[in-house]
Amino acid sequence: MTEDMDKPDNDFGFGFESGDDAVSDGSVNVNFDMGTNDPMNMNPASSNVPASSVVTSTELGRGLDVGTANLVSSVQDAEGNVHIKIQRNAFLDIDTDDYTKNMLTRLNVQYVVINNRMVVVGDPAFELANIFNRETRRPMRDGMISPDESDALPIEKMLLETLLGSPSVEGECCYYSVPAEPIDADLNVIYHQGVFGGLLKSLGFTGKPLVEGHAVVFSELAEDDFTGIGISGGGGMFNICVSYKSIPALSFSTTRGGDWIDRNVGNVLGISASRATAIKERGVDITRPKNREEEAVEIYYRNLISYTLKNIKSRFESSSSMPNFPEPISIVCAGGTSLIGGFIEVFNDEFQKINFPIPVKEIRHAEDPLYSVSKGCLVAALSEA
Amino acid sequence: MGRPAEGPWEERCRPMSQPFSVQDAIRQSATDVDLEELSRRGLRKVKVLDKQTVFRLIDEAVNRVVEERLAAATDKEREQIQSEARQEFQRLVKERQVEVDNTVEQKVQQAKAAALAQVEQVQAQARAQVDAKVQEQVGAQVESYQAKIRELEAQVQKGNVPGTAEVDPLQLSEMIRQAVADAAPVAAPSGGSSELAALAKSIESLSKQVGNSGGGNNSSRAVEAPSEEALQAFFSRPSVSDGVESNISNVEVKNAKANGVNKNLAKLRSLKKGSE
Repeated sequence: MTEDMDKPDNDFGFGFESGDDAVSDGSVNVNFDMGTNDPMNMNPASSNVPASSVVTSTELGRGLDVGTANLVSSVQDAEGNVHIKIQRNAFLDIDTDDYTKNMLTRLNVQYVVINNRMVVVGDPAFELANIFNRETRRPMRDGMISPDESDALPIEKMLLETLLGSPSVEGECCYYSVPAEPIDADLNVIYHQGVFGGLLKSLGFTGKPLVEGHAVVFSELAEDDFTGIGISGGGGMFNICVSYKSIPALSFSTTRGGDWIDRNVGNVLGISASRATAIKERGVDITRPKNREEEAVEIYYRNLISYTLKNIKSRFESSSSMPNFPEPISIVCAGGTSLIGGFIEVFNDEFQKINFPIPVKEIRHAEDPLYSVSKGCLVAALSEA
Repeated sequence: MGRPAEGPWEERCRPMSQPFSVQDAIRQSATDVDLEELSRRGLRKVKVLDKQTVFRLIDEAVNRVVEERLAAATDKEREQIQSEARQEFQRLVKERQVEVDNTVEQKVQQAKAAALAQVEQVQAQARAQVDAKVQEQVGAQVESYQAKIRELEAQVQKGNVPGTAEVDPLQLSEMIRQAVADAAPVAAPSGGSSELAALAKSIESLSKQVGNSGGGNNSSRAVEAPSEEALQAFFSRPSVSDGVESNISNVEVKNAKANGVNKNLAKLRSLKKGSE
């Protein structure tokens, strides 16, 4: 376990060390003979993605959001565009036969054969689970690597290979998100952090952990001098970070997220959690539920937001290290769970019900809620170049 | 009771600071005289008043005096008497209430103690039931681990170790360590689960043997987070890119473009410079 792994709250605002000196301008240009449309894959020898004819260059440094529901990687090209790759962090095993294999390849569905079982990974796993009313298998649970899933590690490695490809230079810096210590569960992030650090190292990267809420601050609060509250609403957790001038003053997580909603909606409607996820993601507006299913989603969303806000308030009131903010601050909500219609309105509703201890000037959505954490990790990685 | 006091009504009717005890007053005012002394004085008979008679006589005397005085009292004086009587009554009621409260409190404490004892008893029963259930589950889990170990041992003996992602000494060792870690914390609190403890010990011993054969792993790390090196070794095992059957390299991952982060980066760097 490196020192970095033990201390995820990196101090970016003040006195961090400079990064790799091998490339002085922080970028690297690679020309492919055949080219590739995959700016993440800088190694011409690697063939993890289909080739096409694009010549590209990217800056040194990667961002990786290790989420319970989704894995999201990001890299910035020389023109300043951020390229995102996203995989649903799920898989499903199905019966193996040649016909199915051919069909899956034709349908652009990723599979791998492990221990004579055919495993479909990513979004197709989720879609197939929906069709057959089955539950997907999940490498992660409650924001961390799942102890119940024996195939979690090989699957995670595979998914990360497809997202990151190979490093531009050996040991390229990749900041990856980790949850802050949960306040409502006895979970330890050290093992999870170590697993992903080791995994990235095995892929040739230098993995550095960054607390998820802090990543949201990096990607969304630049105009506020990285001062404010970043909230990442994920599948397994809500991660909260209070930052002052880029320094995290308070970071913690709660173990209720999108999965908690799905489980409960599934229970009350008598359907699988995967199907509840599909209902949630088909365009529900929780301020205007149209039927019983959407009402169930609204009820649990409201409860989750209220629960999160009460925990934030309680932590603020009990923490001795809270800075005195000279001006009202912004709260930014990111993460897949915040994507549902009406999220910010309901958040505002519930916020008004509690006497929040810090003056807040606005509550807003992240620019790219789903990519926000990954982009924040990318900012951290590029800042070391 | 002596002669009525002279002076203003307020002084005469000053409320008593303490309740008056007739019995104590008689006891304090009386003198003990031996029967022989009485006989010497020529007294052969004495008149005896019992306690009830004394009280009755006092009551009568008091009532008579009060009635006489009340008849002569002004309205203001009557009101004052009523007020003082009310206060005295309330004081007595309070005293009585305190006595009652103390009794009730005592009863509540007794009931609470009894309830706590009952709860503890129920908890002990529940714990015993849970322990039994947990032991049953652990037994099943250990059995499953044993089956896996037997299977993996067989494969190791066949030499089916290097080059396969499914079975290698490191992985086997890891699984066994996991089994030990899973079994140990459950077996410990139940106290008398010597069978499980012995099983855990034997698994750990096996883990040592297998770990050593696979590269000298230290079994003392069984319940710790794996080291970076161990994880790297685990993840260095063959995977998708090394010949495992898969179509992943032929299928494109979902991708998107997002706005750049140069502005954030510049801000962060300037913040850093400003702080230096």
